[in-house]
Parts: sequence; C-alpha cells; structure tokens
Amino acid sequence: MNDVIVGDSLAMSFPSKAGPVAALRGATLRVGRGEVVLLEGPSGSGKTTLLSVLAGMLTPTEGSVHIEGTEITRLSRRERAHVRLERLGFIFQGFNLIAALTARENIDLVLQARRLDAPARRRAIAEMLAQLDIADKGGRFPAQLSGGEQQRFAIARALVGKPALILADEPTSSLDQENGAAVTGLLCALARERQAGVLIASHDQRIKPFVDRVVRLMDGRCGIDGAVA
Amino acid sequence: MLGLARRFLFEDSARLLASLGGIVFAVVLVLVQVGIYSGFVRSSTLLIEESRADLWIASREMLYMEITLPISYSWVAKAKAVEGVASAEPLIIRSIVWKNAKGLLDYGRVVGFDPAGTLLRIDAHPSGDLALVAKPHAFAVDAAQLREMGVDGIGAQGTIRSRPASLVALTHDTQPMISPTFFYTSLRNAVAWSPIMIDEFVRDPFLSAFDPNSPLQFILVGVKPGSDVERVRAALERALPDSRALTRQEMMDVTRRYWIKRTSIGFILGLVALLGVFVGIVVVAQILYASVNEHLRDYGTLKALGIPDRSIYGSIVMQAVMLALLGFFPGLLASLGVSAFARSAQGLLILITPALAAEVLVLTVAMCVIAGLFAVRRATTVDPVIVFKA
Repeated sequence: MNDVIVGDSLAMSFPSKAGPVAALRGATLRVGRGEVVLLEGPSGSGKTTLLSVLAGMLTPTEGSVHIEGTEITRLSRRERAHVRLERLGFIFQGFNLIAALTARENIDLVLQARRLDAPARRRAIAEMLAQLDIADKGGRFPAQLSGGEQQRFAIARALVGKPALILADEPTSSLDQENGAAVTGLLCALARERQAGVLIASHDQRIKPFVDRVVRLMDGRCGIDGAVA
Repeated sequence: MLGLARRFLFEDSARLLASLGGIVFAVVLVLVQVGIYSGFVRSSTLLIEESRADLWIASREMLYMEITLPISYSWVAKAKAVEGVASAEPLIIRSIVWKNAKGLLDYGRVVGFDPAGTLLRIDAHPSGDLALVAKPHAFAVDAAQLREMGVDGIGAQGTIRSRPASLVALTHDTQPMISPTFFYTSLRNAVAWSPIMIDEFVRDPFLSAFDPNSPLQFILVGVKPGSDVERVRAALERALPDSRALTRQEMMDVTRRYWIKRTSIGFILGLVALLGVFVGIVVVAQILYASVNEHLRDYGTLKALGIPDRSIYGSIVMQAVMLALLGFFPGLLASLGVSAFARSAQGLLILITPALAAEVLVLTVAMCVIAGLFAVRRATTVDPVIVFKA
C-alpha cells in the first residue's frame, strides 16, 4: 500500500521549569492511501502532539515526517502551511466552523485559498454537500445547525479539496451515539472512495469497527500497530 | 477573504459603531484643523489673489502685505514711465482704531486704493455700491466683520481717529482670518483716518486732493499685453532703487510664508490634527485588536487548515480599510457641516477642498491600516496547535 504519511522516530519535548518534558519518544507511524487508522491512547499519551507534528504545526525535536514523499520537517513554516492546504484535511473535536460564516462559506474558504475559480468551487461544494446529505443547509450559520450537521460540514470542509490524508481529532466526542457512528461511517466511506488516508485520534471505542488498523500510543511511543481483528 | 473580513467586521454592530465613532472623530478633527489652516493661509492672501496687478511694488524691506516700510508716491509716476507698464495704482495700508456709535472699539487696517482704478478688485459681488467709497468718510468692510465692529450693516456710523466714518458697502471673502478688520476706502479717506506726516495732520484730506507727498505701502502695476513681465519687473527695480517688484504669486507666497513660518499657528493646528490621527489609530487599533482576540480560535483554525498568512493578515487589513471607508464619509459630511456652521456663525473660513478631502481619505486609510497592523501582530502570535485543544 502507498503510504501517504510516514512519521519516523518522532521525538518531541517541551521546556518546563523542571526541565524538558518529553511528549513523544521515538513514535513511528504510517498511514496508507485509502487506509483508516485509529490512534488511541490515554490522556497525556501524546496524541495531540503527534497529530500536531504530523500536520507540520510543530517541528519534532528528532525524527522526520514525510507526506506523499515530501519531508515536511525540513520545510519552512510557510511551506508546511502550503502542504496542509494542498494535501491535508482536518476534522476537529469542536468542529471549528467559523461562526461568522455560513456553513457553505466555511467550506469555500479552503477552495478560495487554493485559488479555484468560482464555478469550480461551486461544483465541488455542491457535490460534497449532496454526498453528505446537507445540501439544503449550506446557507445556515453554524449556530443554526445541530452537532451532527456541524460535523458533516466539518467533514465536507476536510474532504472538499481532495486531500491525501485527513487528520481527525476526537471527531465524535461532541456527538451522541447515533450521530457519532453515522458521521464516522460517512467519513470513512468517503475517504476510502476518494483514496484518502485517515488518521483518527480518539478514545471512542465505537470508531473501531470502521477502521482498518489501530495504533496505540503510550508514553509517547506507538506501542501496538496492527490490523483490527 | 473579503467575505470573512466583512463578516467579522459587521457581526458586532456595537463594536462597529464604536470604531466608526473613533474614525469619524479623527476625520473631523483632521479635516477641520487642516481646513482652518488652509482657510487661514488662503484668507491671508485673498486681497492679493483677487487683484489684477501683474506686479506688486513694495519697499525692499517688506515682510509681508501688512508689515512693510513706506514708499514714495512719486514712484507711481516713475513706474508708469517704465516701458511695458500699462497702469500703476497706489495702495495704502495703515493701522486705525474704529469706534462705533456706542463707543465699542475695533482695531483695523485701512486699505486705501483708487476706486476708479482697475487693479484692485475687492469683490465681484458686493452688497451696496463699492464706488461710494470714493466719497469722503465712506468705507466698505467684509460682511463677516460686522459683529466685531458692533454694527448691523450698510449705513452704520462711527468714527476713526475722531473723524466720521460711514459704512457704504459690504464685500465678501476679502478679510484675512486673523488680521484686524480691513476698511476699504479711497486714498484720501485712508490718509485722513491714519495720518502719519505733519502735512497729513494739518490738512483736511477729505476736502483736498490726495497729497503726493503721502507715503504709500504698495504700487500695483498692470503690464501691457504682450510685454514680458520679467523684463518689466527688472526695469521697475532699476527705475526704483530700494524697491521689490513681486508677481502676484510671489506676493501671495511671501505672505503665506510669513504666516506659516513667523507664527506658530500652522504648528498648533498641525499638532491638533496629529492628535486626531493618534486618537483614531488608538481607537481603531483597540477595536481590531479586541476583534482578533475574540476570534483567536478562528484564526488558529485558518492557520491549521493551511490558509496562507498573507490571506489571514490581509483579512484584518481589509477590515481596517473597510472601517476607514465607512468612517471617512460620515466624517467628511460632519466636517462640511462644521465648516458651514463656522462660516455662517463666525465668518470663519474652513477650507475643505476636494484635494484636501482626497488627501485625508488616504490618511484615514493609512491610519486604519497602521492600527490594523497591531491586530495583525496579535494574530501572528496565534499557534495553530490551539485547534487540537477542545
């Protein structure tokens, strides 16, 4: 399987009054094209740090991150932002839709930044909203949407640019059981259909049935890396 | 990102109004102060600007229109004899004290000219008959000065140096803002009201012809059509040693320079205008900074998504530019209102020209963009990692 992201021997420590605190201690992780991986681990195990490093928001103390063959750990901050825009999609725990924009405008932001012309943007958004069954709600503001609907729009924003990899941080924690399962199923199905890799950081055991592999992070190390039985 | 900038700007109407208030305040302060300054500078040269003289002849020591040394009346004839000169008319400017019928005093300058002449055009549209100033005891003033003189209008009586004086006509837009009241009258009346030589004291100039020994302040010269003004100027300065011959523009420049450099009025008005800009920057900076603070998570999300920094910061600058445009036009309207009020209530000329308005528009945009940079600086500190913290 083609790897869309490879994090190799990642170490990350943060300064503190008591000296450097290690958040990652040689974590290695890869996600293939069209593969859905669950990253689980207790609080403080380094999941957020690992996601931040893989997304190029933090530079690891040691190790490297390759996205579709490009080592982003060697890139400048601006170049890493460009990689995120062009190759990554994000789903956040709190949805992070911008409240001042309509749901459709939230999706359009990414396409505008990628300099797509207006007709192409309209087509891409319409197709995405139809697939997620939210076409009639694009003109609403996030506050006018339910949690499940907001997460669908967040998925639409993550997928609309046809990214190589989607990083999802606790995507079901703000949703009830039914919505959580539905949204996860939809995300995984659409990602596989588009041959995008998905890395989901979550405690939520309901996600397991939808993923191809589980990686357990413990004390900054990826302890178990295996296919789901 | 224009849509994002617009939405962030308009989502809180109270905040928007507060920032617009700050910008309107700054715009009014700058426009009115600069307008007063421009009006003041312009008004100091209205008489020169309205004259038809190609050249103004004065003493070599002249500082500006109102401070100069006397020159001889005999120079008028000498000037007329210079080749290329079509006409030469004397002009007297002397200090006087006006007393109205109730005893109220006003300091003034008597401007004595030849009412039959053509080179000093006091007003194209006077109230009353300006030619009447040729009569003994008659004068005209700018309509804006009536209140200072304590009179109601044409027909008002008073005295100047214990001699009767009668207001026969009103001019408009001829009075320098901070000069004493200009009393426009004939040469004879001017000498009668402000004698400075023994002869002028003992004779009654109202009843006699103008004394050719009376000193003048200026000679206005009209150049013959087709003559080279520079050549005529050089010939006049040769014919009249110790004189200066200045074109109308040079005379205006000399007078404006005097007021700008020799007084601190430009500095003071400029300081107040600068204060307005400073207040505007502080208000807009605070508002935009607060707005960015409120949207830190949004800016973090944009950064996490990979939206380029230039687009994110550009959206803040766009908000600043929109604020500038939204605040400028109400500010301009308010300033024009203040200008109209000052004109009608005090005769104060606040000169707000289209060019000045355009300059202040650019200044307002610059002011808001500078203010926006503080907010941009705040946005640069946003770490995209915050998006992973619920």
